[in-house]
Amino acid sequence: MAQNNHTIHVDANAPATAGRLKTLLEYKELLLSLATRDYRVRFVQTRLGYVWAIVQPIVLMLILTFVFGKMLNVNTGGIEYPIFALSGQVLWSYFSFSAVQGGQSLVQSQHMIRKIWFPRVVLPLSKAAVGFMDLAIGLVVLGAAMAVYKALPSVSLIALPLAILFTWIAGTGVSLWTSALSIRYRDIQHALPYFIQFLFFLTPVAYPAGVLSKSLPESISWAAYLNPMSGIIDLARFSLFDAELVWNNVLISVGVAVILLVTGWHYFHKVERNMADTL
Amino acid sequence: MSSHAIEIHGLGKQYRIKGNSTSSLLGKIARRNQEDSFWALKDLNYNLEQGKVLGVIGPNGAGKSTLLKLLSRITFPSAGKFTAHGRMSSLLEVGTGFHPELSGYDNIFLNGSILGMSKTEIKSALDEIIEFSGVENFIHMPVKHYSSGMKVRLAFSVAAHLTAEILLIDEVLAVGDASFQRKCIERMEDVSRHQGRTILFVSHNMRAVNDLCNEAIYIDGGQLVKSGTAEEITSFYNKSLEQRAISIDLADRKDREGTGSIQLQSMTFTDENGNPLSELRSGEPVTLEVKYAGSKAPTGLNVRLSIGRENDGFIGALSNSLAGNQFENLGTEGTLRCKLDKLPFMTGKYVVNARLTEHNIVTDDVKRAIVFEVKEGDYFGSGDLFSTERTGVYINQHWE
Repeated sequence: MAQNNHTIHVDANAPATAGRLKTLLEYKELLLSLATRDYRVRFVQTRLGYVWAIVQPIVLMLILTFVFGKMLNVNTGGIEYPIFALSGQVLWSYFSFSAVQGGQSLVQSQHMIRKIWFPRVVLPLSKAAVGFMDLAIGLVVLGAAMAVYKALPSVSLIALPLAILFTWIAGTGVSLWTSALSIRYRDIQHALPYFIQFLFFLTPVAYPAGVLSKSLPESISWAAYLNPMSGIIDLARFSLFDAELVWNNVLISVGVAVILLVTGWHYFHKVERNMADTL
Repeated sequence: MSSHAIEIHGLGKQYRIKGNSTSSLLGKIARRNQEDSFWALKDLNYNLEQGKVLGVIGPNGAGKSTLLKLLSRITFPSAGKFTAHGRMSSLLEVGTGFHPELSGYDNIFLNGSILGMSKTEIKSALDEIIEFSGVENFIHMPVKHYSSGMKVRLAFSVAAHLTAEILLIDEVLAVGDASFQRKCIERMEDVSRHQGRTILFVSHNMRAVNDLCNEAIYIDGGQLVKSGTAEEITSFYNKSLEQRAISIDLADRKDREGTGSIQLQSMTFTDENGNPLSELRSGEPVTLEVKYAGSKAPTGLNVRLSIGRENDGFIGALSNSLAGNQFENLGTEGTLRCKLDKLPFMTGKYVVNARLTEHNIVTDDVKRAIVFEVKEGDYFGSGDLFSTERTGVYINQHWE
């Protein structure tokens, strides 16, 4: 055994965030184990089992199509409504799952935090990994739906991985902040799901982003893109359907997402030291 | 490179004392100014050599667990620092992260990775882990169908196969049945002697500390009181226990009834060898020593101790006439001993009313002669404590 490969040094006066990324990488197996655990137990003792993972996005798509596509007759700029809605909804679900589940992950796993050391950031990140499985399934459903509507993507499709990456950044940014804050303020546990639900209505999932910016005064129409998912969903629709895209808006949204992630990462590690005491 | 596995310099942990829960926003604002703090561990210095087994002993609340929490990095120190050379795993509670819906097999992987093992390490130890746990036949069944004893066996078995160079162990051996405990102790001895691991072992079990450890430290009030060989420190601890013993002097009690010809002098809980106990646990052998004194040597003396809950409520009695034992050749003063093979009381607080009679005449009657608290212990060795919140007695039984 190579004894000195692992030297653990803990100093009360050391800075809080040094070397965190490296430690996280050492614990990637734990991250995957936790994510697999969550995924496997999710449909335990259900009749349909993993079929639920496919049923959920399809049902939501049908409802959105009925309400926004048929009843309200939303103008999607020539894109068939079901695939329009599904494209936004798949990314939104990934975002909201990472944000809500990740945000609640620390309080949920407090028994582990009090008993064992590991980089705490593994917990919210593992939730994002679980959400990624849903995203993958959603994308397959979307692909199938696009094939049905004969809406074949162009070369812009190469931007889709970017949109997914940005969604991860936004969702993880929110979950780092909220999970770290919820240690001290349990109120966040309860407020978060509502907040994300409200945000759904302010996000161009069921309607195009233009509708949202047009309802704001013209001088601050860009504010619609302070919601990171606005620009990211625009980007996804550009990649899938060559929908119109204003890159500046995407930049605003991505900027917000990155700021959330970076500041969230720092705040999380600032409070990480005392998590076991506060919980 | 240093031959020390762990180097600790001035390590300390300060906790804030919280009045009420301050985890809501409004509560936080309202209570901003009322904060107090204490040091759970203060200025600890110690170097532990590689391959040594260190026993950490001390009374409850002395700071032992805080030390383990700091070393295992669960919590962060308020002062000082430490360096550990090698991978470190802690067994503060076995079975952390077990998921009831997953099979024992899956939980081995989950728990192993939580404890810091890699997938390949778990795979290579898998057969051994399953065999050691003794739950082979149920390994593909969801853990929620396991008995608590089975869960503990499986969990410890994973923990016992950890590959880390430094192990931090806290009271794990207090669980499981006797034969499994012995297996665990043997395994630990194996680990330390043959594999050159460094172990830090927190325990109340002086025998285990003596058997397993090379050296020991005694912590009290958050500070290192004494360090030395395991033998030195455990005997020092036993002596200090005598000062904390559960014992009561009754000679000066004025609120008593009876003729007064023979009176109770004191009551003390001891272990089988007559050493005073500082702590009572369900299922452990306990002797209650009752000292009496009288104007003349008593004949036909009977002791009756009624045991009840704090607010009355009779639970049971200890009495020599009940047990069919008569005292013979008693002196004017002496000690009567009531031996319990296994302390039958469940976790909780109990009150004893004591009465002495001589030929059915009450010579002494003391209400609330002694109040004692019983800590949780595994009476049946089944891993099932039934309840740790209700007072009562364990009734010896077996099922077929």
